[in-house]
Amino acid sequence: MDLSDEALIESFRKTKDSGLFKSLVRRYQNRIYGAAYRMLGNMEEAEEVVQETYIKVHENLAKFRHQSSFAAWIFKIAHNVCIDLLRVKQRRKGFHLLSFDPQSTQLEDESGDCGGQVVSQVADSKPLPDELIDLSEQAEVIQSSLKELPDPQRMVVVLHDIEGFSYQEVAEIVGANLGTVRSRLHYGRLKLRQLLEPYFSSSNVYPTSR
Amino acid sequence: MSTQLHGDLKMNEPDHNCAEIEPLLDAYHDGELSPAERRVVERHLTLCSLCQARLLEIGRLVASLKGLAEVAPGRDIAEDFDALLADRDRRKGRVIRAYVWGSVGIAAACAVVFVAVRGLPGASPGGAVADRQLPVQADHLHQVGKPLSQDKREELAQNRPDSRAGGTAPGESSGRKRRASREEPELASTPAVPAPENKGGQASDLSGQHDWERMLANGIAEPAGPSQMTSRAEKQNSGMTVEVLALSEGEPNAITEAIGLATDEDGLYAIKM
Repeated sequence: MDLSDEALIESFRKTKDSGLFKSLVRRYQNRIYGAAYRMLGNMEEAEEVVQETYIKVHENLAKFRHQSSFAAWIFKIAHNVCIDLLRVKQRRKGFHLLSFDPQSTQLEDESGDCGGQVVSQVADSKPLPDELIDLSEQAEVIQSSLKELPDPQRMVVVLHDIEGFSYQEVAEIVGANLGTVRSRLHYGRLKLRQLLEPYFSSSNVYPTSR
Repeated sequence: MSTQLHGDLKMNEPDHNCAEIEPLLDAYHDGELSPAERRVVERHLTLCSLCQARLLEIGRLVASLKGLAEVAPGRDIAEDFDALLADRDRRKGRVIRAYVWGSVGIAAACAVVFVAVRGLPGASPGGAVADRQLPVQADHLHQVGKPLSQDKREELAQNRPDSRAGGTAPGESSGRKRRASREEPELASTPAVPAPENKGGQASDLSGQHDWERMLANGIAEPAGPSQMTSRAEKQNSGMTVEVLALSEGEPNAITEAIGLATDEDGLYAIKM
């Protein structure tokens, strides 16, 4: 019989058996790796995120108070590791550091404006809209479109639409309020629809009110 | 269905509510709206085929995202966790050692700089005291800088030590200050550095002995602080002046020319290149 996360945590706290800890984190290994890969677009960095998350969970497991699910807690740690990595990458590239301030909605609000540029960039570098694509290509196109989203929007889309967390859990993981999560998800999806429209829309005209 | 939607799109132009409803469509699709919001969206959807189409697009996009194949690492990362922890501890130890040695180095550098500054000839061990009394010094300078009357200037000219003409006599400023406080009432109202006790009760101008000479004889009875520092600095300055004068008077042109210095009739020096 499989123990619940909470039962495993309690057993590990009592026995300090590293086998129990490995069983615990192994449950989330693939999910964290997948989310990190969708966020960062790099397999090595995704593995680095998993390792760093393991270490932080090991160091802070005593602080886990069951106020949220263990899944949300471990994903919050992974999310923070991802943000740190993204910041380092952006600093290296010399780009302007994106703010993760929950109150900052500038990117979301202006998504309609910058979305058009992104659409044209992606559309120019990808197959023609009328070309049919198979499933593997479809996954590639979605992954490359995800990369075009601002980091906060991409994180919310990955956590909700791919990992299946609720709005409340996503808000806890990213440290934002529900309204911000809803807004980021809306604008993230809107941009993805614009980016993917040439490949997946049944009609060539995508209606928008803007 | 697509054709029918297309037809409806042409017939139904976006109404003013679309802009308000569109941001809610994603949450409506996810079942994350409040009951009141849900009712508003549903009422709008029955009337607006445009928003119906948007809702369909959202559903298709979410289905595509959920349908993405799971990405897994090529190995069991949890298996290497013990080695990962050990490596982490090693790295932590290195960082701590670097911090400790860095701090020791910085402390040593600070100590060397402190000792070097204390050892400089112009440095005063009571530097902090001098800083605290800076306002008094500024006030003192303010008094000295006031224009003197014609009588005062003549009196000062008579009292100036001729043997050290051109150099600033030590204690000259305090002598001026004391006289000013006695003879010029408007200056007496301004706060001044306390005057040194006049031993013997003799006024400086009556005794024929200059203030700075008496101060030196009495072991500098000036109040501690800027005046004392000024006297010491002036002593040093005057010593340098005497040295230069001795060189130029005792060893005329021969030595000065030998070391590359030449003087014109105005006493200006030039270095031969």
